[in-house]
Amino acid sequence: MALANIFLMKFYSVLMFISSDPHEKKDTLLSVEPGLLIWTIIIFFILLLILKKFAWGPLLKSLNDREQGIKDSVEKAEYLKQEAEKILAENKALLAKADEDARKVIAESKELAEKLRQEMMSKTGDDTSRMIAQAKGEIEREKIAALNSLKDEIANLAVQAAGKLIDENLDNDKQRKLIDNFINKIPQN
Amino acid sequence: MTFLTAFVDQVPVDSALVQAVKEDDNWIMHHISDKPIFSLPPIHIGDTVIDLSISAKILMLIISAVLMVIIFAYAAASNMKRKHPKGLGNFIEMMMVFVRDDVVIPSMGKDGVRFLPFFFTLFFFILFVNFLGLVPGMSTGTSSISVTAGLAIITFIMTQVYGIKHNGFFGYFKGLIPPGVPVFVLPVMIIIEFLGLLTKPFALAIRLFANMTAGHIVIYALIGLIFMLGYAVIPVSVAFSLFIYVLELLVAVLQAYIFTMLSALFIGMAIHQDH
Repeated sequence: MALANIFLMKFYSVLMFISSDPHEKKDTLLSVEPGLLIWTIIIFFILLLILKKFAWGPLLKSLNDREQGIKDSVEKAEYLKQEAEKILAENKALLAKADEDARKVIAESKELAEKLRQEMMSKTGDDTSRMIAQAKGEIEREKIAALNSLKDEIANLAVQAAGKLIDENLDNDKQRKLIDNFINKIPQN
Repeated sequence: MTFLTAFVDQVPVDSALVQAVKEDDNWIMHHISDKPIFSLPPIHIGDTVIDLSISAKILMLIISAVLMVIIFAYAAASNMKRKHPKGLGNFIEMMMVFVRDDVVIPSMGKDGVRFLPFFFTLFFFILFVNFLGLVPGMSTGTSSISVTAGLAIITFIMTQVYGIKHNGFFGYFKGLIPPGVPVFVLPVMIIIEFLGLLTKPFALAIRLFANMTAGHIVIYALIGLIFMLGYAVIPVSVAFSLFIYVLELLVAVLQAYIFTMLSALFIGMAIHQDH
């Protein structure tokens, strides 16, 4: 209770002070003193003028310059990024095109090689068959020639045998032997 | 006030301060109120007496102003020298960006950029005076209604001047009355709006003054308890005083912020009357 009383008394004392005699202007809390008010306004405007010249101007300028600089840098970075992305896309497209070209070239050369191989193959085959045919013809000719010469030989031998028969008067046995010999001498084909 | 003295008589503590409390009912008020330092002859204009003597509060205002000039000029020089501000310059720039982006521009839009030097000065001046008042042994400039009234009058004049400049003399006063009001309400509306013009700076002055005074009175009352109830209450008194003191630190910043924000709002409303 004592504490509450003291607070009440204090409150009352403050109230008394606020609403004290208007003639004692110096001591009241809520009375406006023109002198103090005028001083406040004067000090404020002098401060405003001085600070505007020496502080706010330079401070705001440096602040704005830096903010503008940051903004410009960000914009430039953005622009550069877009440029880089564009260039990257171009490079990718170029690379893809080059890749495709290379693939096409490889495919073409493969095709060409295949064609060439086939051509070569067919050409070689032709050559071979022609050579074989040639060889066959040669053999046939040789064979015919050999047979012809054999026939001549046989004819000669027959003529000689006939001459011998005529010359030596051969008996029957001898004749047979001779013919057998002759036949044995004949090659099989 | 005799009951207060009677109560103090019961306290078995004797000291100079107790004597002061015994002899003087209003010792708290004497600590809060202004003291003359350098007297000048008062000027009489009609009935009003203008006393331009330098008092403790005026001295505090001048000290704050000088400190501000030194600190901000130093910060400006430091910031202009290098590309990236550091230390004090950086801190002050942070506060400036706060005032610009969180106080002025939300209250009055892009137009506020023009008034930035004014709002910076207002904000930092109130802040410096509030903080210097918290230094033991110093007086709080803003705990005088005359000082806060002076600041409110500056805002009031700015509001009217820029309102009239922007909307024209008749346009400004016509714009004060909301459009679409029936003719028979007009006389009432004119009175209300005119009073509204005056109550805005009045509220500004009272708000700042009351906030900066209340904390001091509470702290003095808590300290006074020691001499009334005895030394046993010292821990409680000191703890509560410390709490109120820390609270006052918050209030000092908050009131500077509120005063600046409301000033920006009023000037913005005077310039753009349509919303």
